[in-house]
Amino acid sequence: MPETLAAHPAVTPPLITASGLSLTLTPTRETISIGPFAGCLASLNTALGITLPETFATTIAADGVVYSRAAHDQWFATAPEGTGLMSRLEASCMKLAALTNQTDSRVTLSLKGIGARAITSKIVPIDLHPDFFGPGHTALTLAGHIPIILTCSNADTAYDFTVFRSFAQSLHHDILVAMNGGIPNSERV
Amino acid sequence: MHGILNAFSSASQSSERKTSRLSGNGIDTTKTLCFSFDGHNYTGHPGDTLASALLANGVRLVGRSFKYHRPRGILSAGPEEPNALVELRGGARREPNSRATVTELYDGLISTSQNRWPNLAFDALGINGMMSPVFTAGFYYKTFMWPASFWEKFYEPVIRRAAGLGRAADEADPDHYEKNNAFCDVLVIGSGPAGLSSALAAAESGARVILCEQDSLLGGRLRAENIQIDNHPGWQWAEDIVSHLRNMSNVRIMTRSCVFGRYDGGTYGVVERVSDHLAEPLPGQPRQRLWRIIAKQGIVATGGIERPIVFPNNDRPGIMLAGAVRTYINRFGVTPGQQAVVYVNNDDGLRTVSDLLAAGARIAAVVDSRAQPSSQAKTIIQQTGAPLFFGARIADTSGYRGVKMAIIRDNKGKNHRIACDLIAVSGGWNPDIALTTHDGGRPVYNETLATFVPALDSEDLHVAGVAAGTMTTAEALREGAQVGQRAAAQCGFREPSTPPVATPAVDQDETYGVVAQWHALDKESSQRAGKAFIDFQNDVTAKDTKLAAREGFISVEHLKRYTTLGMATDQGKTANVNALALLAEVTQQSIPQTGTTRVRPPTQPVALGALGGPHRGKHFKPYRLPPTHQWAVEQGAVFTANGLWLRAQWYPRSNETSWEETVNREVKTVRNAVGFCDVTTLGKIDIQGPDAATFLERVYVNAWQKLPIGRARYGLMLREDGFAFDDGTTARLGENHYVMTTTTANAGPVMQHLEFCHQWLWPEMNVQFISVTDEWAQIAVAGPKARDVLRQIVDPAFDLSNEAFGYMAAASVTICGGQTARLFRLSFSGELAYELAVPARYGDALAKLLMRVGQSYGIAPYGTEALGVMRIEKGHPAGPELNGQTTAHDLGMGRILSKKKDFIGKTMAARPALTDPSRPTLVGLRPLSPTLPLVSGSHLLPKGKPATACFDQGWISSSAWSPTLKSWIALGFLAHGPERHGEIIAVHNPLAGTITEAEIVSPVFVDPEGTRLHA
Repeated sequence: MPETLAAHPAVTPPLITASGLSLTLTPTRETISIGPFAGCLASLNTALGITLPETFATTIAADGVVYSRAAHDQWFATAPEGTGLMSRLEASCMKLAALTNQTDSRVTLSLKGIGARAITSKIVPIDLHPDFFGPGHTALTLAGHIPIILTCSNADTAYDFTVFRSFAQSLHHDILVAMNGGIPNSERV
Repeated sequence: MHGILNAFSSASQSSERKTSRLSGNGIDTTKTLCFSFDGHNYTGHPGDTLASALLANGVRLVGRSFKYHRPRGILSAGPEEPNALVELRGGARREPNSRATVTELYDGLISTSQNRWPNLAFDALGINGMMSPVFTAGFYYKTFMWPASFWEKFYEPVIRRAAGLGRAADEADPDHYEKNNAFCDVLVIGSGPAGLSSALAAAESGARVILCEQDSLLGGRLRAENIQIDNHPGWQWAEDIVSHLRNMSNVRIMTRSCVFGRYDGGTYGVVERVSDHLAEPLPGQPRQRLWRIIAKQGIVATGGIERPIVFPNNDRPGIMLAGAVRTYINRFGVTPGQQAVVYVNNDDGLRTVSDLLAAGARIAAVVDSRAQPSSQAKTIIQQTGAPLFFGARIADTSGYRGVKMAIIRDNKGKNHRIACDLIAVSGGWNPDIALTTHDGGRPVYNETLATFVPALDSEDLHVAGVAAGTMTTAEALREGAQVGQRAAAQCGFREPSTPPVATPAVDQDETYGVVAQWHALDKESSQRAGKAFIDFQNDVTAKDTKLAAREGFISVEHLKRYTTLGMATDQGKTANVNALALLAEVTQQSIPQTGTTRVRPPTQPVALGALGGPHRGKHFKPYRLPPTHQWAVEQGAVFTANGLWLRAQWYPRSNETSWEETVNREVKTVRNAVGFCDVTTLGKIDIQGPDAATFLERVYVNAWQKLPIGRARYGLMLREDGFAFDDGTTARLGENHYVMTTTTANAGPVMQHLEFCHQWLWPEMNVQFISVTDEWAQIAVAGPKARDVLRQIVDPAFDLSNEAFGYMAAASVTICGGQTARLFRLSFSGELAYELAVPARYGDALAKLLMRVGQSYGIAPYGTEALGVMRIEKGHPAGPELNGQTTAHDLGMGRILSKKKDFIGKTMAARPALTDPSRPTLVGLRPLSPTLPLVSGSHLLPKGKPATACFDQGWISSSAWSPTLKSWIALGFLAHGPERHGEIIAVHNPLAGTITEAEIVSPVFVDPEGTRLHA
């Protein structure tokens, strides 16, 4: 019986709390990048049964697959591991788009709790006010000096930082430092 | 800490000093705090500043001046303070040059005076004051000219020791700092009457408002003045408004937050003093927080800074700004003196008379420089009975460690000697307009107000209150509301959601009536101009200003540099306008013609720690960890930084005594058995699309169309200018699917390059690419036994024989019973070698597995150092060779430049200078004596020629001790290199001053036939 390989987490510890907030390494989701070939976007939308979001936002398809705009002419599709996302996408849109497995390339750190917006504001230079960055919004931005995809999963109280795996521990440190610094007194939460 | 507090408690009980305080609107007299100054213990109250607490304890002498070491006291009650600079705290938290006037008192505060020896009362260098006639501006420049060698070794050290201010801490700052970002529609800076009414109006309109106040308390001058608004004390009105604002969800109020700079795009820099008012920050709490606030509209309601008047000996302790005197009385409940002279040129300063009397002080005299007394002056004099000298001036003062007497020269020229312990001076107010000038805006001079006021409002910046030149509270309130509403309207909030609060009524008549008097020097007192101070912090006098003008420094910017006027912690806040007015007088220009110096951020000192924020120490930049990092840590690896990556440099064993020993062992392991190395850091780019091969053809110099599926090929990229950019291998995984590798250093730039090419040069190409660097943990397994090891891991369905999977093969495989992986037959070491890639999460487990299955083959991990040695032995170029200045020809790869297709850099690479055969070209070098080191950077010279530039024929780019050849070896670039194999040349190391003879050889030192890698 060949020896199987055990997965190693990208950050340790996978759950930490400070100042009443939690920072969690979220369970890995199968992640496939979708890069439409020239002139194929409309066909791709039809094949996927959704309209890939034109703005930095997320769309959830009927089968539960989450589609997020990730860059110019590029989207990420994510689904729980073991649901055969790549196989399904290959079957439906192999000729329409470049499909690349990105499941291990990025990890997501989830910051939750009262004051999550205030803590996130310490390291992310964009306006996180719910009027501008509400649930479902995503942004390609920086956390300190680290490139991230930021997603608001719950206004004010939950933000997901998706980051290249190699940067994850460094980002984890930076978020933890921000958490330990507490919520500025002048913040309204 | 408790020990210190106890010591304070016992000391204060035994102290004979008693603190008698009035009620102040900003202090809590029900609680007592202990603190020390120069080893003496005192008490104060919550809400005190160090300055107010010292004054309350009767301490007037707090420092010595910068150059003349003159005794100095407290001049102001705010951030403009030039004199009362002290050292705070101790040890690693020692903080020099702290302004006592903005230092909030806390229990256990330790402060000491600075720039004095042996003590504050008796300072030996006070003798400098007697030397002041020669220590004028430019003294150093003129005096210490010779001998020139003395400057650095003698003059400068001595001068620096004698001058200077406090001492920085010797240890690293133990506190931490953080940064924050905030956005708003309207940023209101300042919380005096104008600021509060602005914030209220903007907030009521529905705008997102941030109100920033540098002080710990809101209210601005309303806390400093005895003024009634709507039948309430002004400070109570302020508290009511603040309370209202705090209940609005669209308002954020930030105290202890100084807006220090205004930048492009409505960006403001703010430093929040989070825990400066505590002995130590609470656990986890930052000391300070640097905010970047982005505001659509900004309102500057920063109030004003009162001007001193320049007269002889105007710097004695006890001579204070009149507005500061009122602040100490009304906010802090402290009477700074018992027998006061009030010296003014405006009605506002006359408020001081009433406040002093109400506080129980005696008014010895009122000196009003205006030719005729104003009605306000007459009223006050009638009410108080104090002697009024109008059209008068102070001609001199006396009192060494504190003022004891003012010599008042009346309007008939007669001197009156008036005993006093306090002189309250008001030369009028300068609007605090620094933030309006950071974008290049120039203020304009207002004759009526005798000061500079901001130029017209810009689209996104407004000014209100004293900062705008509006000198009465009632007008400031009205103007603030208007400006607040206008700013909100410009953000799209048209009308207030509720009726605006009616403009409150100020219950006193207010007049200003300033008549400029910049200095009080007349023909007689001008003889003492050398002691008539303009800039207290830099000891710049009226005499210095005149001297500078006489010597040709007639531009105000030159005056500043020549005299040091306006420099240091206060940035000349109390000095600049008086100085330029005096310069205007000397040069017989108008004040507008003379102009002002340019004000740049920051408006107040900002700690470097705050600017750095959390990014300090090893976290000053982010780091990237390869998938085997934790495993490598467990092996005791030594790490090196490759860009942001941390990579294992070598893996020492306990019996090894040097890194060289470790690296030699790792190289030998690979050459003789098998080793493995994490090469995840190499850039990996997934390229797909019908035009993928054509795209590769254009970015690489060599051909790609015919690369079979399942094969990899070496590729070289040039920049547009024809120089080598990057190299690596690209494998074809499918019909239209490739994976490109780049060097670690160029992973980002190559991706950027590809994006540029696609988006701008060839947007018609149907190709997509995305980085997969982080997706795969890629491990090189190298050595004659590499195949044997991999056979233990790769599933049996995949044939690893040389025939089935030869050199440069590539395939998707499975390992460990079905785990997806990719396998490449690539070799950087020159040995039989593979690169095995697994999803990144399994990298750690793969390293452990390789150690287990490879144990019987003598496997060992190797780091970047051994990797480097082996690539030099094999003659592979790397960063030192691909340095941006070498061409394909230089690298010995001219032959792979395709002549059948176009590619980036082709035309420019054909320039004669780049194809000149005499260009230094890649060669190998071996010293004639194998143990003599060859050092990178050494120059290559013909044997026997002198080490001069005209004989310089090339350089060494990389060198290493080769444990395989038992010799030093090197790669280098040498003119006509390939034609000179076998020649002996001189290798000159200019740093060590050595010349070593070396033989020119092929750059491929090991296995030039490639037998091993094809095994």
